[in-house]
Amino acid sequence: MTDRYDGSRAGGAGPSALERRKAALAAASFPPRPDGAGALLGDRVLVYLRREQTDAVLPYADPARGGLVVTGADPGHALGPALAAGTRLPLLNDPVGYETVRATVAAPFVLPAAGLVTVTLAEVLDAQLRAGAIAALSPTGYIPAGGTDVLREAARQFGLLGRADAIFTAPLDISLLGPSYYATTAAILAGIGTPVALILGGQGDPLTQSKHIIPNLRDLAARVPLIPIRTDFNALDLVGHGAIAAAIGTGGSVRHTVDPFEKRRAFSRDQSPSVLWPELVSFFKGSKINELFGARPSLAPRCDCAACGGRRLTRFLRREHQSQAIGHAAAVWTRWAADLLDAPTVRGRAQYWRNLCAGAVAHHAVFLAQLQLLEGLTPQEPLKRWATLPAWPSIPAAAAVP
Amino acid sequence: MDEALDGGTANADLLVAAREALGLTQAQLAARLTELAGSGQPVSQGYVSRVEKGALTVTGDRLGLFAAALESSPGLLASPARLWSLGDGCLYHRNRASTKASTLRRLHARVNLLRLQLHRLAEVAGEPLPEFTWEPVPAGGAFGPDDAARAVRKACGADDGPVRSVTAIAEGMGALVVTLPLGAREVDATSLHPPGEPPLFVVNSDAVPERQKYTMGHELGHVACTPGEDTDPEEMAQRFAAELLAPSGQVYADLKAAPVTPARLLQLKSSWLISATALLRRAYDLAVISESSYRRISAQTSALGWRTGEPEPLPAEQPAVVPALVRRAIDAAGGVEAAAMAAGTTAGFIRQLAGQPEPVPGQEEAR
Repeated sequence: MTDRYDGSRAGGAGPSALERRKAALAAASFPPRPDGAGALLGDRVLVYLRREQTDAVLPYADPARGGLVVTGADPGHALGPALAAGTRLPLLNDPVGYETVRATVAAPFVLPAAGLVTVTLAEVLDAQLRAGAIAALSPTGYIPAGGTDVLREAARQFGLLGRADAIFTAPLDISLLGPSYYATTAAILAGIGTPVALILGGQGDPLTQSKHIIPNLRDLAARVPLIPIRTDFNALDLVGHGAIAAAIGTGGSVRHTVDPFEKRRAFSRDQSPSVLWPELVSFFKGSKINELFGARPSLAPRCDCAACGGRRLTRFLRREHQSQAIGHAAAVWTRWAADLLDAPTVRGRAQYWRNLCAGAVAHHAVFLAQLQLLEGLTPQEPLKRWATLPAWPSIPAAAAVP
Repeated sequence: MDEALDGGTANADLLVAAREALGLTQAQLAARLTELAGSGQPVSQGYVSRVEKGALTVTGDRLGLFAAALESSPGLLASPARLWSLGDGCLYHRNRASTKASTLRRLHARVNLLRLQLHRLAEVAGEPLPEFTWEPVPAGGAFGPDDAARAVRKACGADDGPVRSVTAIAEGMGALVVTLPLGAREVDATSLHPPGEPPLFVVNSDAVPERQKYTMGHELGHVACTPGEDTDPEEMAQRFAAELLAPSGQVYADLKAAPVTPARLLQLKSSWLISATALLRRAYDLAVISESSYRRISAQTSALGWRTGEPEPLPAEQPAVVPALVRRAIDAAGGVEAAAMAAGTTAGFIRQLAGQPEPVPGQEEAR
């Protein structure tokens, strides 16, 4: 043999069952979804947020195509503001035990103690439903690097419950989606049978860990009833590749998670909020946008979303502007999500997303030209990948759906 | 022991294997036969070819001639043994992409012959070969080679920390391990595991000890787990070796404890007893470093010359089971030469297997 480290897998001559399945999925109007929680959430792109951000988001979330995933160990507390506002949005509660506890084979779920008695997994799920969640998210601990045995045990215990009203949460260290572990991870998640709420774990942007991550995530979306949550526009990429729903985080800290044994590495001490720059399909610090257009304020981009009403993006400078920035982002990407979901086929969704990203990559040069700059505005790596990878892998003729 | 002199007929497959194990062409073997016969009647390449195809039989004195030319014995060459090849699913090798097909043929011939020789030595010693009772763990679907590695560690009582000797683990499971010089860097190892027999690993002693150790882990992976339908056997063996030598749940914390640099890798090498290169790869697989960092540090270590030899080399692992078996066979046979004749090989090779140095010229034992 030769040492092979490229993550490629052995393949046969003809189209595999998976290739045929992908071909059928690409041609379908929407991905097949399991009964229960999957059916309730199908074809929605939700907002993933912290409880205190509820008011900022509610005006812009789409009742027909959206919803909220609110963080908090106490579901009644977490969902309280949304319910008090009388929202018609589907609600979910993420108990976020993975933020503080690593899962182990002996204890894959983070179960609170009530006095001397430990609450059961089923009781944690029931509490979410009683609090008003449309489906329950499992309180899975952080699945550590290489921890396929931990993931398998969590999936096994969750599967024993046999609940269609629950979603298996998979807060995975990004290594589990890399070339060494992906095949095992995918097989475990595919065996669960219920929707899987996927959370990527890693410092910085987990999508940039290796070139294998985005293709593997797309592959996973085609194999598993997937709901990527607590993520960035990876959500839209995966909805374009078979994910049944998704949830986009309102800020950098709720667009991925990190191993609870590690200190979160902040990119900067900048207090300005994370701002979506629509033409670039990317988030930037408000201060960065302001700095770029400091010398040419008249060129600063305006936004016509429901939150901005034509105002400029250079106005998000301080911490207190965060709510406005969150509302702006939700208002903008909610329109994208609606357009994407309106595509006639799943392949069409992917093509829409690819076109959007390709336009955004090209637009970086437009802004640089306007600002007469040679550098300072580089497309982010995932954006470039979304813009350049084939919308769907080429499918052998024999596997293609007529 | 030499039943061929009493009427045995050469096994054509063994004649081919014995020739390929020595790296001889048919013409070179013919020349050797001609020289040994000393009758003035040359042996042609065509004759050798027909013998190897089974079109001509070889018995009696002619078989003895072949045995001498092939550094074997009539008994071995006339045995009805089966030889195993790549397609049989029990023969593996670990080599570079550039390895020549002829090198691999020679390697496969050597391991096949070695298996037969060890069987014969065990017979001489009057003891059975070790029993390999490990039930291979299926590696496919939701179960990966990591699970097999964890199971092996648990079974060996090596739950925590570095593995001091993969060879000892393999031998403890009933495998036979032999280190032989297989040439500079073309081939790392080969393994043969016929059904119902202990696996035989031949590791290239010309490779650096770090690579030998990882290679042993890789080869052990081939017998500790079985690949599923969509599992590449070589990737399976790599993942097995990685988890066996540096379990993710343990090495991760060490890899995260400080920035991964060449100097840090050397620190970890001394505690995990695996190569810095393997640790770097582990850091990437466990997402401690990104793909771009992995490439950058690989380039640094390459510039430091670590591809050919890392600083602070590890001690080479020493097999124990085969050398002990061979020494007992020598004792039982009454000497190295007798053991060599019984096994069907040379005295020098028997000494090599026994881990004994070559005798001083003039002091060789009487035949």
